[in-house]
Amino acid sequence: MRVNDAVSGALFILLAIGLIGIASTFPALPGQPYGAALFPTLIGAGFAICGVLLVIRGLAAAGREKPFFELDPLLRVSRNAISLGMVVGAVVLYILLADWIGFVPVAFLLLLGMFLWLGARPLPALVTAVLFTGITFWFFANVLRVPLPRGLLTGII
Amino acid sequence: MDVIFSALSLIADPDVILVIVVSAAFGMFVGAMPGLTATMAVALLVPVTFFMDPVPALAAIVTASSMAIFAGDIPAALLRMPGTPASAAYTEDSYAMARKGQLNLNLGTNLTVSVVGGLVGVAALIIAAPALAEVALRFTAFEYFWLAALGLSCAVFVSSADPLKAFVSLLLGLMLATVGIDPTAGVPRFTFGSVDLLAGIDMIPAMIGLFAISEIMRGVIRMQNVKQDMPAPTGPVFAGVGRVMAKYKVNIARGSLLGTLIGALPGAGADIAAWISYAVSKRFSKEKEKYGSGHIEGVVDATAANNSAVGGAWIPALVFGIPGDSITAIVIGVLYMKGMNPGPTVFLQNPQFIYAVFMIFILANLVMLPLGWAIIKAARPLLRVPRNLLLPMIIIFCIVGSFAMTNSVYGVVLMLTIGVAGWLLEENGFPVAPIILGLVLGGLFERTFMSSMLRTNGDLLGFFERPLSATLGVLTLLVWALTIARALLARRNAKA
Repeated sequence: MRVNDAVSGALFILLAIGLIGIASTFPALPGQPYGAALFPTLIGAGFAICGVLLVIRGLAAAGREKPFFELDPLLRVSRNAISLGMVVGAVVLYILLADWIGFVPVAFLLLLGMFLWLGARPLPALVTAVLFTGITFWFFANVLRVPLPRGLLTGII
Repeated sequence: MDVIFSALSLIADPDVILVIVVSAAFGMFVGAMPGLTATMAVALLVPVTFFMDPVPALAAIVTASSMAIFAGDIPAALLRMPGTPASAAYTEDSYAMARKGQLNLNLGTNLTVSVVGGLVGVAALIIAAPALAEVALRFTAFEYFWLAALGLSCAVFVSSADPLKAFVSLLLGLMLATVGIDPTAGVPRFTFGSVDLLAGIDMIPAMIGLFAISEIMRGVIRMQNVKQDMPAPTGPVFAGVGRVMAKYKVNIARGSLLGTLIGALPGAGADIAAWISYAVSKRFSKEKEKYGSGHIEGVVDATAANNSAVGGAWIPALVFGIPGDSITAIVIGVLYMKGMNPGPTVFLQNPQFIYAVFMIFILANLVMLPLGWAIIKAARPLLRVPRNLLLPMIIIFCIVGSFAMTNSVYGVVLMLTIGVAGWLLEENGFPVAPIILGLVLGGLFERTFMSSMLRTNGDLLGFFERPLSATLGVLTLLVWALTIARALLARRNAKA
């Protein structure tokens, strides 16, 4: 997903306004001229300047070579777009489900689903999903003692 | 001498040796996979090192990064795809050599010269770091401020084709670094009421997002399993390597030294070292016309340079806490996690750790010879590991790694948010390395800036009063002036 520099520049100007706005609410230190707001305000000023420069550059180029919005040609193939969504979706699903259902079933199902969507044959996909989930859980939860969520399997593993 | 013995006893531990061997294999694998970078290898390794003692943790990072940089040469020769960006400069030459039946001569030379280059980088680290640390002991907040400013400026201007966009990336990193409790007044900033954000943006999930998740998002739509034929191996791996090295010993020395220097420059790492060395090599070669068509000379320069840069990058990281590239940015994060705040005082308080790092570097480069030989032998089946199995496994590994850094799903949320943002930024030509440098250096930069401001009562001239700080300050301003001049010149040329 590519946007013209003018668009990203405008976004950075908005970011600058937000940043400076929030920073202005930080309490000042009594008796000291500079406080917590100074550094974020300077960063905001930097964003504003860069944003303006990007807008100028983007508008200059807009008529000639660059449209305001452009999709990676590869993403127009719906299979690719879904693959990309799958990467993000898998992590989102993990965030939503892991605490409730547990790491092992969620990771296993995510792996199996992604393997099959990306065109792996069912048997190798199944075997790899089982092995990788098992080894990862054993290594992180048992060896390194990371409290990976056990969810529905609490007390069983 | 005592220090050296206690350092030896730190690394002569069987656990440390095991860590070195395992992370070497891991680094080789990740480096050899096109699309997976050396930085990604290190970012994925960090959650595991989090649970180790400092010495094995550093051993894992040093070994994995050295191996990954070498291993990137293998798919360059076999598939015409660099395994890591650091091998991109000489991919054409390597592949052409392999087509001409010189595959093993190419890989054997790459391996041996990488080891030599790596050792030169380490030697420079061993000589320069303690000497610089003595100078650094006299540094005050002013010098550290300028040093951080210089490091950040180099990151933006030396290493980027588009300084404006790189500067925006840097600002994004600095902005992320301001989240959490502010260093001077203790005020919570940009936390939006979240307890998790109060502790700041955790660097490692951010790193995994930027260098692994966004990389996978790019990779998954370009994913293809390797089906093409690979050139056949020819004779033993090391046959003829001695002759090449004798013929091009000047190139080896030049590439290694240049690589070390570029690596030590904040913000520029192994990939830029390789490109510049390749260009320098061509410039001074008697056989310029052969470059790009399977000539070993440029390969020798560049492959020495990218491995020596790995060691060189550690010089500013260890001495000043200023990362030389994105890998050492992670290293600095790890050092802080281990309570060994990088900077000259480590050399006084924990010299045995510093010497242990030196020894691990030497060891890692020596281990590279047999392991590199093994991986060259095993390259064909390895490069056929199906992508559609590999990428989902990396995703799960990213999730677990980020989770492990915060012990909550917050780490995973952070990784995903920053990963998607990184993907969008990179699609639009904003480089991601400055973000991580800004995030790592932001704290130091703000702290030293604020204390300098308070000391001079806001008088910016006070930043130039001490001779050391004046020198560093002028250097920083020079970098800015040169960049602006370059940008204006480029614009005038474009118009003309």
